[in-house]
Amino acid sequence: MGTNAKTTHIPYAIAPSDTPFEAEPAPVDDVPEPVSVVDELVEVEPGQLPVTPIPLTPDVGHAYGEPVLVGGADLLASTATLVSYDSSNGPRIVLHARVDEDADAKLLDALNISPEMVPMQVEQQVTGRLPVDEQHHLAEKIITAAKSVNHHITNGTLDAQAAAPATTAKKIDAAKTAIEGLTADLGDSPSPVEQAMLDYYVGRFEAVQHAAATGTPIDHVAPFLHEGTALVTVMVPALPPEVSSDSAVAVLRDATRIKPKLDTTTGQASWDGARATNVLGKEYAIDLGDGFQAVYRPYSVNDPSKTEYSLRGRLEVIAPAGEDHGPELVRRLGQLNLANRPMTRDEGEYSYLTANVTAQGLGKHAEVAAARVTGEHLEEMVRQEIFYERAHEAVGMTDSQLATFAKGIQLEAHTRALPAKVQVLRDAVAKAAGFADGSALAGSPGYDPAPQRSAGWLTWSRFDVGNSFPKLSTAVAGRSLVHKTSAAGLKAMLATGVLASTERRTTMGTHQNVGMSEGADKLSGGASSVFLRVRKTSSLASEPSLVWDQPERLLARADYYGANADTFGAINPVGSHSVSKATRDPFKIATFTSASNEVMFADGIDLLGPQGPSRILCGSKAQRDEIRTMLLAKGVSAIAGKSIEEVVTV
Amino acid sequence: MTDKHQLSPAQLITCLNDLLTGGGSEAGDELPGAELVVFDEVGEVFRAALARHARLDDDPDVVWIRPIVAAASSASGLPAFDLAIVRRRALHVTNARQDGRRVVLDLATGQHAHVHPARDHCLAVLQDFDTWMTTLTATQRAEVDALDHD
Repeated sequence: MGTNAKTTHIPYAIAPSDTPFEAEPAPVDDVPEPVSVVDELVEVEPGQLPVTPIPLTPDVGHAYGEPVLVGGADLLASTATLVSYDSSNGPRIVLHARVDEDADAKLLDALNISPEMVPMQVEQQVTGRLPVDEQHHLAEKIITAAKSVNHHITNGTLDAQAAAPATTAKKIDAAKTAIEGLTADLGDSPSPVEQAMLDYYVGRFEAVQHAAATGTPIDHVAPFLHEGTALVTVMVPALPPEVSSDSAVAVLRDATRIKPKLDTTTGQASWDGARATNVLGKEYAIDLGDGFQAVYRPYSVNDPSKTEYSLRGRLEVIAPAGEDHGPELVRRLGQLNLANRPMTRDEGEYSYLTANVTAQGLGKHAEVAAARVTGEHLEEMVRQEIFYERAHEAVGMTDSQLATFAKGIQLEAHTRALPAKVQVLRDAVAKAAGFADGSALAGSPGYDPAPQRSAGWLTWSRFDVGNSFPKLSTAVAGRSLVHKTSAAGLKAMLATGVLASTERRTTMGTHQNVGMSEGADKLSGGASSVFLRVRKTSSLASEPSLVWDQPERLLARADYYGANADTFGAINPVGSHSVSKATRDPFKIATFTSASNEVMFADGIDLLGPQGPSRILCGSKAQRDEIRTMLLAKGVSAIAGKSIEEVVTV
Repeated sequence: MTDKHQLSPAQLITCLNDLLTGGGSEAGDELPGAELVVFDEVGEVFRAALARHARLDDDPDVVWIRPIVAAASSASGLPAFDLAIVRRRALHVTNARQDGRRVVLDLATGQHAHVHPARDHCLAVLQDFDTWMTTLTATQRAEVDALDHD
C-alpha cells in the first residue's frame, strides 16, 4: 500500500525505557538521572539500528494504522500500531498495543491511583434507542413476538388457517400492552422524535399481527435508533495533591472501547473521542499530562472467563488532536514503565528466528532448547557485570530510584547480550534445519530477518519456504487459497483494504459486537485469525471470493496453521491430542482435499499490498465495475503486480 | 452409510433441520432448537447451540453448520453476534445414525458428535441468536442461513 505518512527516523541510542528520545529529558524531582550510556556509543552498530521507523503522523483515516516494533518484550509481538483517526480538530493519533502479561505488574506500579473521579461534561454525538423505548422494552417485546411467529411458521405450527400457538399469542399480547403503556406515558404532546418512534413501532407491530394472521414470515424488526448530540457527563481522574508532572494519574472504572466511525465506502476512520461503554471488564483511565491519556485493562483485575475477548492487557495511548505525535506516543510508554524505544535489528532477528522455530517445529531439537538456555545465561552474566561496574551509584538511592536504576541495568544487559544471543540461536536453528552453521543459514537465499508490513501489523517469513519456493510452487500448482464472502462483505473488506481478524478489528475500534470471553475463543479460534480454504482452482465459481492462485505467496508467512478437516475443541496445534492433525507444514497443506479444510492466518491479510489476492471474484458484472471504480478512486490501480482489470473479475 | 439403521446424507440433513428448527420439541416459552456436543478420546471437548440451518456440501460427507460458540454482546440493548466468531463449521461425517431425538455422528477427524435438543445455557444463547436474526433483513438472514461464507 502506498503511504503518504510523514516519517521520522529516530536516531537509536541504547537507553533505559524511561529515557525520552529527545536530548532533554524532563527533569523529575526525587528521581535520579536515568542510567545513560548514550555518550559512550559514538557510532551505532548496524544491529542497533531500528527495524521500523516511527511515523510522525500515520496516514490520516487509515483504520488499521501503521505498525511499529518496540524493543524488549513488554508488548505482545513487540508490536504497537499507530492509528491516525480523522477528526474535526485535526488528526487524533492513538497507539494501540497489547501488554505482555509479565509486564502487567510493573505497568501498575507506574500508576498514581487517584482516590476519586470528578465529573466533566462534554458534548457528544450519540446514536441509540430513546430512553422511553428501553424503559418499556418495546423493541424487545415486538422482536420476541416476531421471532415466535416466524419460528412457528417455519416448523409448520402456524399458518393462515391455524390460530397462533398460545405462547405466541401471549407474546403478541405483551407487545401490544407495551405499546399501549408507552402511548399513555407519552401523553398528548410527544416530541417529534418520540412520535416517530411510536409510529415506527406501531407499524412493526401491525406487521407482526399480519404475519401471524397470514402465515407469512415477517421480514425483520430492528430497533428505532435516534442520532443527535447530547451533553454527556464523563468521569475523569481527580489529580491527587502534590503529584509530579511525570506521574501517571489513574482511576479504575468499567471498561470502555474507543468508538471510531468507519465509512464503509471509503474505508476512512474518524473519531471524535466517543467511547463505547457496553464492554465487560475493568480498566484504568490514565492521565499522562500535557493532554496525553492512556487506557489500560490489567490482567490482574479482569477475570478471563468474564471479560471481553482480547480485552486483558489492551492498551491505548491517546495524543491530543494534532499532527506529529507519533514518536511522542511511543516515548510516553516510558511513563507506564514500559520499554519505549524502537526494536533494534538484533532484536528483530531474534524474533524472526523464534517465529521460524515455531513455524518449522524446530523447538523439539535439543540444540535449539539449549541455545535458549545459553542465551538466558549470557544475559544474566552481562547483567552481573554491569551491576558490579555500577553498584556504587546505588548508594543512597530511595526505593523508587533503585527501581529505576535496576530497570536501566536490565535493559542495558538485554541490549548488550543480544548480538551473542542471536548468534547462538542462529547457529542452533541452522543445525536443526540441516545447515552447517549460522553463517551458512544466513547466506541462504530464503533467510530474510526483516519483517514485512501487512496492513497494521508485521509478519515474518519462513526461511525454509524461501529456500524451496519453486518446489512449493510445484506442490500447490492447480490449487488456490480462497476466502468466500458475501457481496456486502467483499465491498466492506476492499474499502478498508484488509481482511482482518475480529481481534484486530476490535483493537482498532472498528468492530463493536465482540461479546465473548477469552475462554470461549480458545474453543473457536475465530477471533485472532482469518480463515482460508484450499480449493482446486478449476472448481471456483463466480461467487464473491478472495482468491490466491499462488498459495505459496501466503504460505511463505510464518504465522499460519491448517487442518484437512474441521476439528472441534482447541484448534491450536499446540495442546490437545484431538488436534494432532493440524499442521504448519506448507507441503502438507498443499495436499489438503477435504471440503472442510481450513488454513488460519494470524491477524489478517493486507488485500492491497504484496500479499494481496490474485483474483477478487465478484458475484456480478455490476459489482465488478463498482469495486474497480472504488479501488481506482482510492488510487489503487494494481494489486500484487497485476492490474485491477486482471484482478477484479466475475 | 448403507446400514438400515444409519442415515444417508439426505436423511441426515432432514433429521438435522428438524432438530434445528425445534420440530416436535417443547421448551415452554422458549423456542426449541438443537445443540452440538463433540467428544474425543478424553471426553467432551465442545458444546454449543446450533443456528437453525444445516447444508450439505457438494461433497455429500460434509455438512455445514453454525455453532453459536459465544454469548451475545449488546448493541442498543439487544443481543448482537459477530459472524467471524460465530462462523460456519463443517462436520466431515463418516457414519451417521438416529437414536431417538438424537443424531449420532462419527467424524473423519476421529471425533464423535451428538446433535440433540438444546438445553439450559445453549437454549438461552439460541434465544439471543434468534433475537439478533430477527433484527436482520430477510436478505441478511438468507446469507447467514446459506452457510456459504467464511
